[in-house]
Amino acid sequence: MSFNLVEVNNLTFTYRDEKQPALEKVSFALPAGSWTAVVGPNGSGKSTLTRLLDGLLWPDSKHSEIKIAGERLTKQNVWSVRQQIGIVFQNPDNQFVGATVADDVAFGLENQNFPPEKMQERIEQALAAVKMQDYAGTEPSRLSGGQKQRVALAGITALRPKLLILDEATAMLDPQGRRDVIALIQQLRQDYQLTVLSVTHDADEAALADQVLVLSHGKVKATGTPADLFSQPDLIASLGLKPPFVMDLKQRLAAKGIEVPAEITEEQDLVNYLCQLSSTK
Amino acid sequence: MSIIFNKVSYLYNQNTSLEQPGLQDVSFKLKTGSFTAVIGHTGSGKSTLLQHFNALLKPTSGSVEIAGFKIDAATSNKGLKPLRQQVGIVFQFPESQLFEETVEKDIAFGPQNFGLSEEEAHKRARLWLRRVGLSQDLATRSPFDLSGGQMRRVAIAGIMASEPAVLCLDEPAAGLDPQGHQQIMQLFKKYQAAGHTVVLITHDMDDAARYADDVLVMDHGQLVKHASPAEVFADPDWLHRHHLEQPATVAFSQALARAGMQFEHLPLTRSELVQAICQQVKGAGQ
Repeated sequence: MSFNLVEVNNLTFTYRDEKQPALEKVSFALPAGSWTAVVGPNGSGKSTLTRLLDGLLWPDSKHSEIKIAGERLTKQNVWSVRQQIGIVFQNPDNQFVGATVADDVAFGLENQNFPPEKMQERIEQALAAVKMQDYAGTEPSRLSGGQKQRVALAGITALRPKLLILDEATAMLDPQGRRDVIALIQQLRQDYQLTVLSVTHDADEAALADQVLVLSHGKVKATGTPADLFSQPDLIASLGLKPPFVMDLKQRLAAKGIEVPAEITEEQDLVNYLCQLSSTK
Repeated sequence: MSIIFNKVSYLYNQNTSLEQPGLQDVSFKLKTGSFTAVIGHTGSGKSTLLQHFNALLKPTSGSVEIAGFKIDAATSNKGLKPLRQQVGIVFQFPESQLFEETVEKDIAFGPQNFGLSEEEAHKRARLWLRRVGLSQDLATRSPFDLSGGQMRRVAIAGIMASEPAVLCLDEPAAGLDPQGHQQIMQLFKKYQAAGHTVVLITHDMDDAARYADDVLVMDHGQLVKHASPAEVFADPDWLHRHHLEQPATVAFSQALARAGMQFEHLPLTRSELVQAICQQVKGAGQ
């Protein structure tokens, strides 16, 4: 954990015909093996950032620097650097190319000239890791949303990237599907020493991160641990995050004159506190 | 003019080896002017159901009565345009259907297609651009230069600008930030208050509890419950059996009730919950 897998310095990017940059002087680092959540309202530059990291867009000037595994991202090395990055997007239907689940996982490997004799084993392993081995011959369109995201993750982990970018990857899933996919990512992260960057509006997902990067109008507004940031209700509201339920309720109660002590952060503790309050009055 | 589904079944790939039931014997009646949430886990048939509202899919058996039309297996595709004017559907990721050169043209396309003059359609487009919370400056921009959240709103405006009597929405707020989420849901609620019927597919149980007055629960292509939000969300075990959860508010209220607090009605929204707690904790807020 001693080195930074990703270092971003002074990143500025302006879309064509725009006056305001979409990202302005953004700097941060992702320690190898860490999980970082990027949060911020729609239009704050989150997706632009992921596209720059993957070399799909290029910064305005050479004073901006993106380093991945110690190597500065340039137009010359973009193809090799990109092999170290995997991205899962919000809409799983936009990322399938194969006629079957196994073909789909094979596609990325073929693209990287993976030795054909080892391919079958790698595909089986990748599908087993996401518990989709029984669906190898299934057409992707027949899968549920959660299953599609699992296959997308299998296709990516088969390539053994160092950096996994999740761009709202769980936004379309039902609560159970969302929990399953997040648990799976945690597991893959340990198994393959992945560094994770997740773009999200979900406070519960951001709470799993080691660090949270807050973007607002293209600038880094704050960085810190989830605990640091989530203890500042005013900041939360401006982050484009839905506050966790207990925090939201405490704020609403405070507005009505019922101050709940700060140390109460769990649902059951709040239940007990409120019931005590109502029985003693 | 209510919406009636009468024993609607739908088979995907009928009479092939890939035949698969999409809907099985679904019957219900929705009142005009209601706000109905359709819930159910992924793959339960919610989106298949929604496509029956304007005859994008036609029942394999049974019939749908909506906006003066009766649709069954024999209904011809001809002459359905007035139905689609009356029943607008916003699909998942509607932003992927944007296509025009400018935002204003994109929104005006629907109303113009349904017979408004160009001038009238563009007036509507500017009105709905504002109503979905976007600045008028965006009217002349290419929709493809906008952020994801802005594109979503443009696409929603494109459907709402035709002012359909029945507005159907499939996860319209997924991926929007919380503020945008709330704004867009309020817009649909206001649309209902203006006399329209709204049907919302959602994974967000808090939204179903907060905005809907009627709930359809789907599982394996079948309608397993049709009731008020209070009734649907009262039983956590039943919800779990259908791979659903209680809204956070309801779960919390029931935890309070188990610990001794008494409620006249089960609070469904956060403001109802806070109000109920304040009543219990006497003397507070005074």
